[in-house]
Amino acid sequence: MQDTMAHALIVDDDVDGARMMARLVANAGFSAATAQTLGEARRQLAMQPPDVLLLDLKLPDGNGMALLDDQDLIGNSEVVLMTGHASLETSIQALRYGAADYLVKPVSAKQLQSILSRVMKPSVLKAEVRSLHDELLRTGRFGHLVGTSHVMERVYEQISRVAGTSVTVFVTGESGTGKELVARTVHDLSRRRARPFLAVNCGAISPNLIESEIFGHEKGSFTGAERQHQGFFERAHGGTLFLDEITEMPPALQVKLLRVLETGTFMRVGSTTPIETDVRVIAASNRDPEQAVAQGRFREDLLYRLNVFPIELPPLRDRVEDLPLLVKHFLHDIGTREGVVRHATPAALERLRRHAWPGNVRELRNVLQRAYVMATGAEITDEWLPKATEAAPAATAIPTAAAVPHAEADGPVIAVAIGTPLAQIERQVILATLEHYRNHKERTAAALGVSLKTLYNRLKEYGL
Amino acid sequence: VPSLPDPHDAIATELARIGHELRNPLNGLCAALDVLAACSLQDAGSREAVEVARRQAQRLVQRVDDLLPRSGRRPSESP
Repeated sequence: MQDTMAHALIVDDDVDGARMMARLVANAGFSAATAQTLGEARRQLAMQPPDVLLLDLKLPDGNGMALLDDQDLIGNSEVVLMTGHASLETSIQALRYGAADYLVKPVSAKQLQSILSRVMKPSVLKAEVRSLHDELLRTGRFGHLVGTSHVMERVYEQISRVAGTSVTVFVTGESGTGKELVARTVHDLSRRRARPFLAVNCGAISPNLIESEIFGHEKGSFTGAERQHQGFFERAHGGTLFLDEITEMPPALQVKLLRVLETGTFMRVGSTTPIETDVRVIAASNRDPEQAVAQGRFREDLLYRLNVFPIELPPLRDRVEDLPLLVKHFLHDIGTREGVVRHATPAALERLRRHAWPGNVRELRNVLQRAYVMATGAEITDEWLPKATEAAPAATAIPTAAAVPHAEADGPVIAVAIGTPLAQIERQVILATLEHYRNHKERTAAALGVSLKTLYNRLKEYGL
Repeated sequence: VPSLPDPHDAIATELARIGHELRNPLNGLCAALDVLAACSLQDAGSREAVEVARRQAQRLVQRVDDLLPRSGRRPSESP
């Protein structure tokens, strides 16, 4: 039995703390050893490589991070940092170096258990990530996401890396790109998948209600609070809480969310008893969160906390090569639901390819839905599809404007979000036009209505 | 003229240091209490004592959390 028991090494120069944590770890069914210095830790690591390494950063003979550099020593261990003071810079750096998680001291028995329960069977999750990759090769799907483009493969890589940890994920991407589907895929690939996944749109709940919705309330805490109410954090216990449009959260609540993330406890409205919570938070925003910080609408420290592992979802126009697959996927879904399968003609696909998709994949789904309903035969032609110049017909939260090079009213378009700096728009239009004319500078300059010299100057500015 | 260090920065740094120094002994204390709580304590008196000690330790942790200086907010402004 001895050799199948998972092993933990606790590295902390505080002898008492290390010994007590070793006991807690032993209670969870691990064998445990302790080390007080980097040197001792190295020796122990070489002697008996642990499944999990609990690592304090401040050690008498150096910084604990030094161990992260030594892949030979820690390659088979999950590294969990324990920090004395919540220096987020260090923690985030460590996570990017490959630590699986970090805890702020004092570490509670619950937090330890939660970490250890995950460590026990990393092989199961890893096998699942592998099988998802196999499925990706076979069907072009990864969890809830569809597409095989390079940009999406990068997203899948990031999801695979972060899913098994309890690290906070921040998904950015334009409206309709599938941020919630990323969150669901992360949840399904984590040990939390048997527990609830709850999605909250912070921009859609009334500011008066959002606090009690998220944290719950006690009976009688405010007029109308007739009974005790469990908030999202309680209901998502052990699972994942997806906070969409996080930058829309009222400032007072941002402070409270920060507290939950830092302490792992929260209080119901009208209560002073902290409740421990084990919830993984995945936040999302369709606008640049840094901008919300600059405008003073979003707390910088909260963004810092949430943005531990950022995932950026590409807009549909940056992965048009995924269009045929996405079209097939949606038409299959609709066909299964309606009982009649309809396919898109090559002309229809070509029309779709030329659309700018300001509303992204969600817009594509709505467009196909409409085209499916309007189609009479087994084929979906381009008759009911948007023209290349047509602005978004469907739900688009980000207002967009289609810019058409005047030289070619029927040509491709680029979408520009409202509020984009003019210099950036200029750059986008110049580069897109240049690409459209296959690098032909004279035609590009003529189409843009500027002199060849101006065009060259701009390209030089862009370093091209 | 050499510029004086921002007193707020000095306070923040000092608070961070104190926080760190408190968190290490708190870690040992809380872990020891968690170990105790997991033991099968025989009489109601010791069980109650452990519960009280854990609760009070938790209060102490809360106080230390409150000390935590954060970017964008001076410690003196804590709500």
